[in-house]
Amino acid sequence: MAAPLDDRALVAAAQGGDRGALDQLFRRHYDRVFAVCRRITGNEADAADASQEAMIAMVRALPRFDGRSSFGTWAYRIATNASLDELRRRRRRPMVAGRDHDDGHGAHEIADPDAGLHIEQLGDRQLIDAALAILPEDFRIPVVLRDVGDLDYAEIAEVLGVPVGTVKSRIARGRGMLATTISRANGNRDTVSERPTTAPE
Amino acid sequence: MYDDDLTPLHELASSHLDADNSPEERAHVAATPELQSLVASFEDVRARLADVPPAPAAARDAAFAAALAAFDELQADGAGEAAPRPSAPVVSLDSRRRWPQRMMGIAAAVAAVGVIGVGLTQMGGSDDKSSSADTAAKSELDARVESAQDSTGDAPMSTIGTISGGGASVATVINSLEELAALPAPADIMSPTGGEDPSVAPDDTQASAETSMAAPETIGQSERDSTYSYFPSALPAAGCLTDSQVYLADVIFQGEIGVAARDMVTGVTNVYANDCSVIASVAP
Repeated sequence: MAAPLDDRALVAAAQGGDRGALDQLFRRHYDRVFAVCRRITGNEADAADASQEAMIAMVRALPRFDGRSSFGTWAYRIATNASLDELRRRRRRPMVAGRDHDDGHGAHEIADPDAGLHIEQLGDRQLIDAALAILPEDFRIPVVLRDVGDLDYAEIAEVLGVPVGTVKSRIARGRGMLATTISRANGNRDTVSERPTTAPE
Repeated sequence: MYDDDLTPLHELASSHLDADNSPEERAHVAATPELQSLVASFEDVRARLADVPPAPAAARDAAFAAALAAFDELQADGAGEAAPRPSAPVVSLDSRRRWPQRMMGIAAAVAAVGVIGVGLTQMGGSDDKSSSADTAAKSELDARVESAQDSTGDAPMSTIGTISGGGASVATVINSLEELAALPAPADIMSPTGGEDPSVAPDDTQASAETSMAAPETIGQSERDSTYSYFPSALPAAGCLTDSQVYLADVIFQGEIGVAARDMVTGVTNVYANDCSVIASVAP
């Protein structure tokens, strides 16, 4: 049984017109691309759109891909960009939009300003969605690229066009914010569950 | 919202999680319960982030189909095949969110008639010349409304509705994706900064695939206006363009009024309705 081709070989074959190689390459990376899009956009529908846009963009850019970075890194960069485009489109749709307070790092767009209101009532999987939704984009994207896309600091710095030191501090701050939100939500849930359900005697 | 600013402990715990700290720092973390607790909470965050629900099978299949269709088209172009392109190589992604756009198109056309009619009335003189111009403009607008209400699909691409001085721009009637793909980009907006085509990066072949990565912030309308000197549309849909897209024309696509724009990286041309939904989309 032949060993599966590595990404580099598949990219070369796809660049040469091998449709099967492209298909194999995309099937190998789609789940991660979708995961990055899902975490940046915050919902399944936008993530599906962004993933599809990203894959089309990859096809069109593939002839120019020169392999200086890994295919995965390159793909997640494009997925990030597609997700950001999707977020911009979403902001332009007629809907209530929110903007977080300026905390000295400039005004940050947040995905859903109401997400934190009832965060303690959410299930575990919804909790991280809600925590991400109230995390400003400047912190959300580097954390997602690190913890979901598995890009290193230098790669994230290249993607975002900011210094590596800035990436490190944003990731640390973003993780701290997420951990705080989750901890508070869990604390509130514990408090809620400890409340008496019947009137005291 | 958050009352805990970044502390050296956060940064140390975070770099520890990423194995990006020195042996001394690792020893310090191992010896400090507060840091260990912080690292554990960051590990929990990472685990939660990685726990992404799988993509729906339909979305996955649609993405593969769209990508392979784009690949086939690219291959056909590369081979110089003369075969006609498929009429809809890229499926509109926003179709699930579409509003009753036909109604909105009609409403927009009627509104345009009202606004421009008022303008014409105000600037209209008593001489015969202005009167005939008024009549001509009104008949053009009637045609625009008719076009919005009645899409035949067979009519050739035509340009109607030029109104001078009122802020309204030329609306191009388009009835097929082929016509949409053939819309030319004005030369003066293809190089927004007066330099090279932004989709071409001769010194960095990957740069074009990494569009706007260095500037993830949303570009505002005023910024766009200063970037693209030619941005004449008065339609709300003009605000739907992303920073990688160039404005092509105000159009009436199969009876729906919108703004046509081309992505300078992917080459995909979209028509946006005023609610920013995509009326039509076609790859180059």
